[in-house]
Amino acid sequence: MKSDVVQAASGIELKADSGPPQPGARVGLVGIVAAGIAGSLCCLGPLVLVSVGISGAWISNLTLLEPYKWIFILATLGFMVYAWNKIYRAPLAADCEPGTLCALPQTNRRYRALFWIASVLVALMLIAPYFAPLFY
Amino acid sequence: MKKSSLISALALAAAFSVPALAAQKTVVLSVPSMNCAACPITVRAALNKVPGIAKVKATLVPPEVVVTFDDAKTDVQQLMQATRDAGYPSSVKSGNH
Repeated sequence: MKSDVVQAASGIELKADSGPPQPGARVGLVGIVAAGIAGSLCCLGPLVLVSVGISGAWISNLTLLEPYKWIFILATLGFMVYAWNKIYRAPLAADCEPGTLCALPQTNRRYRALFWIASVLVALMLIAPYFAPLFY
Repeated sequence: MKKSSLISALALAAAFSVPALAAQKTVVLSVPSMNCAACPITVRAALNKVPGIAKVKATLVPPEVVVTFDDAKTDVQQLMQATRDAGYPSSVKSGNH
């Protein structure tokens, strides 16, 4: 309840040291990774498979996903916003039930680190097409 | 003297002409499904695994790949097989094969 008051009062202000993430933070991080992989299947999937020596005509099924990659990219960005909210606009530690995951500060540090690692990977995925011609 | 140098010249020419029997050929494959930024990299990587490939140039626009290969070691069918097995079916557009 206390966090609601703080959030309402501070608007979009960051609460960098506000405490552990809400339970949804994990869902957000998993969502970023899952949607990011789904968005990469069409185009990076065949390259990864060829690189590790896996081949087969079935791979053309992956390339058929290309028109839908924007859906997955939007989903990835959506999960990033969601995870950011859960991790950086988290309730105060005092609001967490003692003994839960939420009450452990190191959990939040880990989630923040994972969030930024995931963000860098997503950024790489988004800018990769502009650097790809260098490898043609 | 003159005769022996002629013979050695012939021998030399013969030595060099043997590899020339396995001529390098160039083919242009049309790869219509190559429609994303990373796709030409994949196609090139797949073709480079085929033995006897000298040069591969894949482009997104137009979606084609120009392959120079040793026709004693591989043929156009194998090249098409390679792109198909990487997920990108191709067809011959042109070339001296």
